Amino acid sequence: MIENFRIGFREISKSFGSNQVLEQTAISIASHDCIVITGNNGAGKTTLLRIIAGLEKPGHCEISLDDASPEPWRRLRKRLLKSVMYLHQQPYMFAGSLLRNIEYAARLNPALADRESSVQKAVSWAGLEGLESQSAASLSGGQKQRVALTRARLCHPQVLLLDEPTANLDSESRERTLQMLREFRDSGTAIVIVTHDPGVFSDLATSKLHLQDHRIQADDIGAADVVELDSVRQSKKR
Amino acid sequence: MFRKALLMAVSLLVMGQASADASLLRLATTTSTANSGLMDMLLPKFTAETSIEVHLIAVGTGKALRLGREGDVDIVLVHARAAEDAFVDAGYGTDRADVMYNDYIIVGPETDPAGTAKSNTVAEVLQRIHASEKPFISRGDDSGTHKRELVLWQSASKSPDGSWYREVGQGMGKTLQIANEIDGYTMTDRGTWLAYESKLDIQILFEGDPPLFNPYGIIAVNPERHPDVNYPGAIKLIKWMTSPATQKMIGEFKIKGQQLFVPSVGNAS
Amino acid sequence: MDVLLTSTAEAFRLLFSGNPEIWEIVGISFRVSSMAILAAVPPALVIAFTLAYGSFPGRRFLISLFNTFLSVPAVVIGLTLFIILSRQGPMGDFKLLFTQTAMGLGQFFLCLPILVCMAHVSLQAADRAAWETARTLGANRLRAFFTVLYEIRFGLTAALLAGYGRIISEVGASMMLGGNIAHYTRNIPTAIALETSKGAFAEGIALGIVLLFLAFVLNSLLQYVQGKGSINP
Repeated sequence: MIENFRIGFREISKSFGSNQVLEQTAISIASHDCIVITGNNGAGKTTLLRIIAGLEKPGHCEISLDDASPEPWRRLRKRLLKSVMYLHQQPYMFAGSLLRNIEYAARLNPALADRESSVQKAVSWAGLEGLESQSAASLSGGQKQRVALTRARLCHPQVLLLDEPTANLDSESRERTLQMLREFRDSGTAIVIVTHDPGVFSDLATSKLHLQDHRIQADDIGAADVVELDSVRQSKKR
Repeated sequence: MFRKALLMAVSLLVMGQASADASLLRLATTTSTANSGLMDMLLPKFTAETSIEVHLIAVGTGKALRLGREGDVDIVLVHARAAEDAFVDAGYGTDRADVMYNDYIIVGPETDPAGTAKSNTVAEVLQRIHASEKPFISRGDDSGTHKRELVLWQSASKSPDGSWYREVGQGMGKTLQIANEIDGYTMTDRGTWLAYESKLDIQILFEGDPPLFNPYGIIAVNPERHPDVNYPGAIKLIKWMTSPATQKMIGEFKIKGQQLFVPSVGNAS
Repeated sequence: MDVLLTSTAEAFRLLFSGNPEIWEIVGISFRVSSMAILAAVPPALVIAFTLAYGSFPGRRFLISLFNTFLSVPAVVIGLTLFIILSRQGPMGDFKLLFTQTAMGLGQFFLCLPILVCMAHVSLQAADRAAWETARTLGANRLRAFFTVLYEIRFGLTAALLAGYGRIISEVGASMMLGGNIAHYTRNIPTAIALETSKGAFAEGIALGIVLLFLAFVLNSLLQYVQGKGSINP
C-alpha cells in the first residue's frame, strides 16, 4: 500500500518558443485519485504530464508536498522522477526479451525484497507468462502496454501518468488495462490519465478535468481552481 | 563479452612505454641516411656497447636542425655543411664532427638530350641543361639535397627558372620516379639511387666532381641552451661514430655490392 | 603488375613466417590506436549525449563544429600537436614528442570528431522515449545513459569501426608526432611510408595488405558480435 500523500502543482507555465502551452494553471494529486484529463489536440495535455513526471522542464512551476510550503520544480525534479511514473502513449520497449524489460525495472527498485519472485509475481499478475523470452519489440500493442504497467508495478510509484493508454487497444486489452489500473488505484497510487475517450474510464475516475485555453478547467463544475475539487473527489470515492 | 574486450584493451594500454632518461638518446637524421640502412647496422652495436638506446628520427635536414634547435632531440646527423656551421655558430649545437661523406650524382634519360655526359664539371652539366631547357626535377623541399642543388646552380652562374625547371616538393625517391616518368634530369644522393636504380630507366650521366661530395656531420645539441638534453650520451655517440672501428664499418657498408659512404676520419677530402 | 603479385606473396610470407619485426610493427599500431580510441570513447559519448539531448545555447554551433573537424587533415592535427608538445611549446616539459603517447594523442583527436558525430547521429535516430522510460523508472542519469547506449549499440559499433579505421591507417600525424622510431613508434602506416621512400615497394604493399587483412579480421569479429545481437532486435 502507498501511504497517503498529496502533491500540489501550482502556477504551471510552459511555452515552446512563442507558443504558450500552459499558463498559470494548477493541479493537485493525492493518493487514491484517478484524474481523467481531456482536451483538444495540442492543448498541452502531454506537456502537463511530462512536467508532472519531471521529464519536461516547465517555464514556471511550484510544488508543495503534503501542504508543505511550495518549492520550485527544479528542486523537486529528482523526487518527481522517483515517485512519479510516466507511461508513453506507445510504451518504449528496451532491446531484448520481455523478461529483460521487466527485470530492468525491478533492478531499479532497491525496496524489492526478493527480486526474482517479485518479477515472477508481476509477470503472472499481468498475464504475461510464457512470453518471458520473447523479444519485447515483437509484442502486440496490448502486450507492450501490460509490460509497461508491470514495470510500473515493480517501481511502486506514488503517481502513475498515462498518455492515451487505450488509444490503440482492442476491447479485451482495454478491459485488462482498466482492471490493472483499478488495482493500482486501490493500492493507493494516484492515477492521471490523458485521453480523448473519457467514457472508458468513467467507472475508475474520481475527477474529470478539461484542459483549455492553457488552463485546467474542472469539467463538471467549471471551477478554475482545481484545489477546491476535493469535495467532488470525496463524493466519488468509495 | 564486452567486459572481456575491455580487460584486453586495458592490459594492452599498460604494456611498455619507454621513458626518457640518460639511457635514451634521440637522434634526428635525414631520411636518406636512415633509408640507406647504415644506421640500422650501426646503432644496435652502439647500444650493445654503451647500453644507450637510440631513437632514430628521420626527417628532412631543415627539420632535423630545427628539432635540435628546439631541444626536441639530443643530437643530429645531417649533411648540409653551411646550415650545420650556422647551427653551431648560433649556439644551438656543439662538438660538431665529420663522420663520412657520400656523393651526389646527376641522372637523366639514357639518350641524354642535353648532352651532359660530355661535361667535365658539374657546373658545365647544369649549364648544358639550362641551355637545352630539358626538364630538370628539383626536390624543392628545402632538404639538404635541395640546398646543395641550389648552391650548384649558383656556382654554375645560372638561375633555374622557366617551365623546364620543376620543383616537386617531394622526397628523393618520388623525385627520381617523376624524373623517370617524364624523361627529366635530376640530382640524387647515391644511396637513394641504388635503392631505386632497378625500377628506373634513367641512368647516371655524371659523377665524381668534388662539388658533388656530400659530407655528413654529427652535432650534439648545446646543453647550455637545453639543460635537459642527454649531452653525455650525445658525446659518447660522437666519439663512437668517429672511432676507428666504426669508421671501418662505415667504409665496409655496402648496398648491392657498392660502397655508399667514405669514412671522413683519416680520409681528408 | 608484377610488383603487385610479388608484393602479395611477400605480404603473406611476412605475416606467416613469424617475422618478429612485422608483428612488432603490427603490435605498435594496434596498441597505440586502441589506447587512443579507448581514451576517446568516454568523452565522445558524453559530448554526443549532451549534443543530442541537451538544450543550451551554442548547441547547433557545436554540432557544426564537430562536423567540420571531421574534415580536418590529419597533418594539421599533427602539426598543431607537434607545436604544443615540442620542447619549446606550452607542453614541452612533459617530453611527449616522439613517444607513443604523442602518437596516441594525435589519434585521439583524429577519432574524437568521428565518434562524436556518429554517436550523435545514432542518438538522434534513437527514440527519446528510451531515455525517458529509464528515467521515469527511477534510473539515475548514469544508469539511463548506459541504457540508451545499449539501445544504440549497433550505431556505436559502426562509429567505433569508422574511428578505428581512420586512426589505424593514418600516417601524417603519426609520422610527425611519433617520428617513426624503429621498435617504438613505427606503426604500419609510417612503416609503409618508410618502405616506399626507400624504394622497397614490395614491402610497402605487403604491409598495406597486412593492414587490410587485420582490419578485415577485426571487422569480421565485430560483425559476428553484431550478428549475435540482431537475433533479438
